[in-house]
Amino acid sequence: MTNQQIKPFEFMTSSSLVTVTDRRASDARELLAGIREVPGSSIYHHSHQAYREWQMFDRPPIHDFGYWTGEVLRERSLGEKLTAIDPTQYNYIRGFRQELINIIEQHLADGPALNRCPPGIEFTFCQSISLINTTGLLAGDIDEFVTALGRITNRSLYYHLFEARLRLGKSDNDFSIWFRDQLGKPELAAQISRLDISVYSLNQIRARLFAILGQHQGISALELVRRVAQLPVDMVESLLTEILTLPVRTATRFWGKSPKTLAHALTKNIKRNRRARKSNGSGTA
Amino acid sequence: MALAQLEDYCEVIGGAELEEIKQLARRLQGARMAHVNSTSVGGGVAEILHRMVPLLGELGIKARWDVIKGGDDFFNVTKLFHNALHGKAEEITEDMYQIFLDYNRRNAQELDFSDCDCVFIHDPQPVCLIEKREQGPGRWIWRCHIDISAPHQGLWEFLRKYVEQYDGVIISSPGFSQKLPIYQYLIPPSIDPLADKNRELHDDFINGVLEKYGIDRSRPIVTQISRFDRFKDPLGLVEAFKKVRQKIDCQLILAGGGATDDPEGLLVLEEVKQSAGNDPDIHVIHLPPGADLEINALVRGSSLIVQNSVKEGFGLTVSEAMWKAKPVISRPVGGITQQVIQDVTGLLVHSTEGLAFAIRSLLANPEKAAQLGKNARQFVRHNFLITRHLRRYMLVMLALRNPGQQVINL
Repeated sequence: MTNQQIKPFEFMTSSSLVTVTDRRASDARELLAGIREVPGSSIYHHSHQAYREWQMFDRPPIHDFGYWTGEVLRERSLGEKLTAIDPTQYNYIRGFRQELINIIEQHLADGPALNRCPPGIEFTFCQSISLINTTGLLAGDIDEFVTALGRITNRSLYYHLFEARLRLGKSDNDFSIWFRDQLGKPELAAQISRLDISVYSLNQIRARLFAILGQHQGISALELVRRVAQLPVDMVESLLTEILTLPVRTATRFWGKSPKTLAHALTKNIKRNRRARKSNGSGTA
Repeated sequence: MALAQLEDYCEVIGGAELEEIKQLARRLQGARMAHVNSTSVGGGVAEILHRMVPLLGELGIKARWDVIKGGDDFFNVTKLFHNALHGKAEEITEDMYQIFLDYNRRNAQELDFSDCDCVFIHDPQPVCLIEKREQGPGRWIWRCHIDISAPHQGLWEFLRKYVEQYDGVIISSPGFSQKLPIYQYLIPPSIDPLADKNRELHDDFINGVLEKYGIDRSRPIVTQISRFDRFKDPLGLVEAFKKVRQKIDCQLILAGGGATDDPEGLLVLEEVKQSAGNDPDIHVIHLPPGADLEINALVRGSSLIVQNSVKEGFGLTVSEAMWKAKPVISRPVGGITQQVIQDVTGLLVHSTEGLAFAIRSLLANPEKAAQLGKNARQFVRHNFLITRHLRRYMLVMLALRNPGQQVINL
């Protein structure tokens, strides 16, 4: 495909406005009734909000149904089973909803004594309204794509990897579809599709995307630093941590630099940002 | 210090996030938004509006802020309503309802919302202004900052008649939702990272403030910053502190100011002073309005922060401490359950004994305390800063233009 025929990738972003219902569940039976009856947008909200919002901690996101059942209701076994259902594997919400129903029905069929949570920590069913907007960023080739990847928010990353796929019933994420269909790079597309996005935070996913694309393009570590300069310092730090946790040999192969060199380059950038912030006058009383 | 400009937030949230906010604002250019509350000084709502309104203006949204007027009789009634909505057993008379309605109607005569696209009415005090709605085509939102999960039923039934006339309600925690025929949006309040209360301070300044109040920085400092209000349970904290001090040499700071719509504050302050007695390590500090830098210094100079509230719509002081990477101990009430994730962004306790143990535990384990503080700061950066709040208010306005839609392509 020639450059003229390639449709540029338009980076979109999605903002979520949460609405709350007055429907609550205090035990597994009430949770089941709610899951059966609430609209799909409520199931979507509770299955995906952890992936969108759970950005900063070093443990994988867990969807609300699994988290509440296991950690709040203290139904450990049922909580584990629900947590293990991966919502990112479903192209449609109804498939995920049905699997939740099957697991809870199976659990209730054994007639167990049910835990009940005290008032104040019930499961409150919410919904998400998604407002989708352009970021104004376009990429016509891989290099431009990597640059944009260092400038978009996690919200944009979430939209293309999770939301667009589910909302539009696509069989793959937007990035892989573009690499395969527009750039004719099926191997790169397959590498991105293979990322297990359900067990990583968005920061971790971004680090891995940089690794995959950086390896493909031969982008140096210092160049990476330049491209992520738009991100807030904590996110750069998080990226640094993520890249350093990749196995040493793998990281060296990806970047042509040792993790130590990479860490040094990134840290220099972080310090420069901090110096700039202080010189703006925010460091004095 | 001059108020921060929108571009100044780039250092905190990054250029990409700021650009997304501007993109949303482009969809609302020239829109007129009014905010109404009952006090311009003291309390979280006034603090937020002081920052929110100018920032909205920078984004091209014509925002204004009106404060309703009331006499002592009105504010005595609204304080009692506030307590009753938080679930306290109160006797509410017909006279009280009448005072409430009279002041609302008097204020309504002085305010004009006919050119507004969106009117945000904050808290119960001005809720009846919705009767002005027929003046214009704008959308009306009741922004409820308090915990209405178990309200006084009679009072709630009275207020509900007005609340149902709004296009939507904004609450701070899912647990506050009510059976209502209108949208209930979940939006937590926010703090301003660049305000005097939250910005970075030099150590010399922090030391100076601590010295001024006779606080010894070489020994651990436990602090609660809040208005002097029984729902903040300052007496419970004093009791817990006395238990802690049997094991650890430390100091307690109870510091806060008042709000013009809170007539109970001075009474509670006296109770706290009595409870502290002559103990030189318990510092009860009544701060004047505008003492934001001192509050900032007191928090930054502390080893850990407690928010011992038994009822709380949302803990702004909790977010402020978390932003300063301080470990926080709190009760799991109201909106605080959205802020403090047990053992991740802080500790949650259910009793005075539990509070005392948690304080001892964190003072004895500074590494764990530091990790909680670090997580807490990240959590606030992503969820509870004023930039996120701005964004969410704009989303409400955009959603109200597309009622009933779950996916809105802008």
